[in-house]
Amino acid sequence: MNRKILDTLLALVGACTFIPGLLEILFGLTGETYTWAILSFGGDYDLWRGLILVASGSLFFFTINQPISVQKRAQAVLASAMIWIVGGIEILSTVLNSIPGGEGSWFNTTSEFLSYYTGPFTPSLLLLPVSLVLVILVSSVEVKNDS
Amino acid sequence: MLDPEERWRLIDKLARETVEYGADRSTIGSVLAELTVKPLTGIPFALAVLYGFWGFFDAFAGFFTDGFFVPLFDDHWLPWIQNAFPLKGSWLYYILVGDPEAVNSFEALGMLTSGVFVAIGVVLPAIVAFYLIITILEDSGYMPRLAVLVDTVLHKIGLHGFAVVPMILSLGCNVPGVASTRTLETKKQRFMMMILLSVFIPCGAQLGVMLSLIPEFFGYIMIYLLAGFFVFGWILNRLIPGRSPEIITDVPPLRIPTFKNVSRKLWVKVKGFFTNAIPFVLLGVGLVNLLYLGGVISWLANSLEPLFTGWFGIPKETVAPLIAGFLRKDLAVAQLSAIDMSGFQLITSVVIISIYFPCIATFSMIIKEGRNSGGVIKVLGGSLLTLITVVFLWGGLLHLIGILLGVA
Amino acid sequence: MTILLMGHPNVGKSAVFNRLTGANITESNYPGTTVDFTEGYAFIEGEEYKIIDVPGTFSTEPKDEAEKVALDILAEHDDPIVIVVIDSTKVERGLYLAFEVMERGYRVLIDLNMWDDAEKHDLEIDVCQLEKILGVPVVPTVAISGKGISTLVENVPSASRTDIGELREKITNL
Repeated sequence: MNRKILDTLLALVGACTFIPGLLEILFGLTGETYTWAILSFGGDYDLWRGLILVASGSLFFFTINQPISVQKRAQAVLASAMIWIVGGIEILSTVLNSIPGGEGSWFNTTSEFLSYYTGPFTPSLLLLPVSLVLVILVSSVEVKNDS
Repeated sequence: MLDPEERWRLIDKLARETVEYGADRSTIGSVLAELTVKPLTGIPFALAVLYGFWGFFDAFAGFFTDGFFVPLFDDHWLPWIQNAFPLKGSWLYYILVGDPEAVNSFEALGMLTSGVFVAIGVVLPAIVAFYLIITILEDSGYMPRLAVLVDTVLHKIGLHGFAVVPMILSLGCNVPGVASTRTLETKKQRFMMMILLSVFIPCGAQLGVMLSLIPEFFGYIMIYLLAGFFVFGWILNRLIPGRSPEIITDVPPLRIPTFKNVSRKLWVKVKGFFTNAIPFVLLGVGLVNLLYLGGVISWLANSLEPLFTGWFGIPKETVAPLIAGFLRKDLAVAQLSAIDMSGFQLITSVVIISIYFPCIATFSMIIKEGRNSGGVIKVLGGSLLTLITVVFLWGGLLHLIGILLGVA
Repeated sequence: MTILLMGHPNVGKSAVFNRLTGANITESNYPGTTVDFTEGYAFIEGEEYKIIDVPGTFSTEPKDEAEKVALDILAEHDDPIVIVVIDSTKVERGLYLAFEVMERGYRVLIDLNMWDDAEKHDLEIDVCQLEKILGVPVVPTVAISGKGISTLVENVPSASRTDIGELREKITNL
């Protein structure tokens, strides 16, 4: 894969991170929640998540136009790591929230347990696999260049 | 013995003969290591790490405390012991079980009810979550990077960035934090750091309880305490004679933490909690109940009322948690959250719990370390003087802020 | 018989200590976490050794309380074996401390720890030649994973004194 395709991908992922990040800041400030298809905005600490996504998106943009190098790779990894932290916490809290039963019983019923996993999801959660693939791509390009 | 210059000359020559440096190929790890200390990329990443810290804590402690321990203690343990314990109405019942009518474990106030619940149900999950993250941050080498980022601020108050190591250790527990001030060079630095740490840096257990019981106020309390750290650091730096030289330290490389080391450290902490902390928590509850029965608490509350309500703007009932706070600050915060008061009063009283006196374990460590840092009398006298000033000024100021904002 | 583990802060002394004694003291990836010494015991070739994890020190001229502790320990033991733990990526500074200890006439064994980091940096250290010139055993280790620790242990009995005058000549004639 050449640099152009890679940069296009980086820009795309960057935009997909940056824009939802801005929206999250917006919804964080107004305190509203909004759901669109399987995507949801709002909730506790949305402002915080938004800021992180905006920073991550900016860092993706920053990697564009640089020659393929360890620097570029590391920047992409760092930007993705920020998504992974936010998304990872999302997964963890969903899993842990779905287990206890609340009033009257220790554990949740199977159907209620499953209802936690049908969405809608926050942007960072959807971006997590995307950025993971991107990092693998960025790394593989590096290796090719070396040989 | 050689003189240093000759030693270096010989070593240079020896190294040239035996060590061959490869082309300094930067690896992804070393570039990442750099990116995490550069402010432009480092600060946003630090923000993400702190979010991860908080998010993990919230999910993990919430899972155990709200998901399992609260129903266990409130629905099963509390009603059982209230009925099963004999001698209802006696002083022993009061100390061990507390209020026979209480419907939740926070408000029962007995050693076996509130005491056990706070220790096992609230503090234990909190410190496991807390230390797990701290250990991972430590072992990965990220902690000192955070230190480099706040280095600039610390320089302003005359503490070089390396003072962050005692600070970080203090966030776990003030005792090793105070002990590690030994790595600071001058008596002035050691003295300053010991006081600032023990007064303004809440320990892991206290942080944990704050995060689980009053998360909505956590940010405000921490900001106010850290502001105090810097303000009084700046003042002390002006007042205390002596110098605070710079230390140049390396930032260690980033590493992937090993499961073995992380679990071992965590185990040491948890074991320490069971042997050192739980007895103190129970003792604290017992002591406060005993003082209640003896009328000491109501006497203290009434005689201190003008000070509490007038100067600090908090209810006089907070005197009981303040007493428990000598033994364990985490217990004190838990007891505070059960008292009926406004949000701003709760913030103020938690701040005062943090700064009014170090817990007994930290206090004895200060005495021990004081011997190496200019004499016990000087250090103790100095700390007490600073302490009293800080409590009145910083506690009163918060009340004033509340009045100006119209919330107190 | 006593073995002292000495070295700069954050070179992995506590990790080496844990490996040697099977103890459980805290290893941290930042300097200055060991401010007090820790003792442990190990059997090496049928003999019991007392092992002391000395707080990190840059030189034998003390600069702070933790370093003072380190030097007091060095002074108060009768003819100990000193294992100087060196960060393999920063050999020169480590050797500086090793020289100081050797000059004081102690039996020394050099542990080039964090060998994996050196490999990652494409750093090549000629261990055999270093050993020959210094006249003390030099052992590469990765204490975190335990690599090289058994060789380190085997070399404990052969820790030896070096005549500094001779060493100076040897190096000057290289």
